Amino acid sequence: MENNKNDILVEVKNLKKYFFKNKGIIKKHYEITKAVDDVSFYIRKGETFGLVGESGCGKSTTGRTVLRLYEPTAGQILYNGVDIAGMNREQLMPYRKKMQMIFQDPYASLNARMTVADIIGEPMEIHNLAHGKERQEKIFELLDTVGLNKDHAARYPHEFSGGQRQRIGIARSLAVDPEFIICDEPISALDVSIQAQVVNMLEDLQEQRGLTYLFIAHDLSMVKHISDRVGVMYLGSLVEVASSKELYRNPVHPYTQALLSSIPIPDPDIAEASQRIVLEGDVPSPVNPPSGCKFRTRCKYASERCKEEDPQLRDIGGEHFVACHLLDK
Amino acid sequence: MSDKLLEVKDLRTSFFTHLGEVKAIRGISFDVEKGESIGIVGESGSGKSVTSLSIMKLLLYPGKIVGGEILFNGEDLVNKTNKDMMAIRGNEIAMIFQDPMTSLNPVYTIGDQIAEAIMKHQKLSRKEAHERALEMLKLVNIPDPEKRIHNFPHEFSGGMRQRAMIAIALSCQPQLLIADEPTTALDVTIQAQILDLMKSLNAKLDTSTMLITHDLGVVADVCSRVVVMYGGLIMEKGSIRDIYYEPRHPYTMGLLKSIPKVASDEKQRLIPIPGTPPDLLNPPTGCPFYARCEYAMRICNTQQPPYFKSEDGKHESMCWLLHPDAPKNEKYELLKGGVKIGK
Repeated sequence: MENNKNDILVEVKNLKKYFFKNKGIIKKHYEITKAVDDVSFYIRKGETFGLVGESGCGKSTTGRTVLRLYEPTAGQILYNGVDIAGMNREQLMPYRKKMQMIFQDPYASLNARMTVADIIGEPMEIHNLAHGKERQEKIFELLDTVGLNKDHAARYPHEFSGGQRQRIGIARSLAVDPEFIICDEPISALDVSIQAQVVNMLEDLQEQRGLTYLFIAHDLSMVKHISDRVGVMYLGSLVEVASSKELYRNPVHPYTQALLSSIPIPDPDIAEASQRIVLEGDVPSPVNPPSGCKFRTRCKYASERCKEEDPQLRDIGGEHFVACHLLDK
Repeated sequence: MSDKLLEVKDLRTSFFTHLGEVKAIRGISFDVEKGESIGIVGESGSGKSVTSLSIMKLLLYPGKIVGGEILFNGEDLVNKTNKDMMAIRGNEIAMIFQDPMTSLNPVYTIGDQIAEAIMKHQKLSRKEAHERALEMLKLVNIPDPEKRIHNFPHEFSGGMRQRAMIAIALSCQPQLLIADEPTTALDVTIQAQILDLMKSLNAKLDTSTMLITHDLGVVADVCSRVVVMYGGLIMEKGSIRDIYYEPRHPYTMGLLKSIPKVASDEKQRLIPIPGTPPDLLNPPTGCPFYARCEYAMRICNTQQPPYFKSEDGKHESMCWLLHPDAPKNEKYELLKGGVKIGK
């Protein structure tokens, strides 16, 4: 980690994001939701870092906090070595241009009252890039990049299918020539045959433009396909980080093992032969997470120590990080 | 004949909107045998959910069955009155919906909702029905059922609500259970729990299951036969091994190629199906997959292909390429039976 510091684009250190909700009627009494609780990871230039986990594990919150769409409660977000966690609006402006986001729901993330050209042009407007004819050209070029054509520019989002809308969202994120894009479940709302189209396009764009992705998804097979390295989250914490090959071949954390074995594999023979690890119960509430290791309530190996001590992420060799007390045995 | 529970023959369902007739289902035929699990796979708009609503006769205005037969135990459901259907729905054919958050009534307790179905169809007292409801909750593995029976839906998690839905659906021991995307709204680990439960209950209660989903992985896990739908028609149907190991329709092949392979180590590029599904307001006269098919011939555009059966007659595919006179397409021949996935 230390020796190749230069090619690290984004580094997140001990990031925390708590949500406070006033539950008091007369006196203030806050209920704290620890959506992201002490998360650290780094992303190299040009790589895709996947973040997986079940709903409510804090993966989307992590993504949004890295972009400063949410104010971090604590921790550092280093972009090219510069901490952006404490920056004000003005200081942040140049970084906003470098970091963009593709949202999950292509139906909700496009303004229904704006034409496609306005939607794609808006980031350029804000960052004062390309004017008049030049902007028009750029918009057409972007539409072409994402597989739409010029005629689409004057239309409104409702005239497009889900896959096409997601393409518009991607074109918008590319409008300011970013270096780093956070893809927050970009394909979850799409049909299987359309998913592959969008994933391939994301891969092509990465190659052409040297983009770095943070890819957030709950579809483990797609994350494995697109990511170079993957982080697994559970209740606000990272439990395992490894290269995607290593993670799928040799999962160490009991949660990762269970998660991987629950992927339904579209192959009858394998489905029949595989022994699925079925976890008992549900994910506990992040308002009142279990003490120590957060996974212990569903872990079949849990011991006394897991109750008392919160396991820390550590390298077990080859950039494979795991947070589990079982490693000591 | 005797072992066929449900027979759908040339079913056609349309929605009469102000834009015109949307032909959601354009003539589909399949059957469900007693005790088996059949999967219906398709993308959004392929007509898979409309199929299930047609069987339950739950189509809302402007939807209407415009042709065909739905034989349940030999009786045609299409001509049944709503009153007759009330006796069948929930009692002989039950349904689980996609979204467990919205399909339970928030102002009644879970116990009341299970008991409602039981009291409606079986002449049991309130007390007996509640006892039955408790048994059902135990059957679907809800922890602490004596307490949970008095809970309201908002006190249940997503996975538990889906379990409660299954309990309601199975409370009258239906012969056919239609599950419309039962795990789509759930997380993978919870999905695994629900699929396990459905499989074990299927074996225990001898209920036939019709599983409607877009997830080919879920089907491979639960079902023994698969029906692949596209553009309101059945493209291909056969045993699970036929469809996954020897697909003969280019659409099925395309679907299988467009999903990533978890088990393989090397990074392969996905092969997407280009284009978008057809508009059912003006459905194509020929094969609905014509515009997206890489092997399309001239006839595919003008004439809807018939079903070509395999030697044992169990694997049927709607594609002109299987016609004995069709020109041999090398690439297609190579792929036929050659799409190995997950390996």
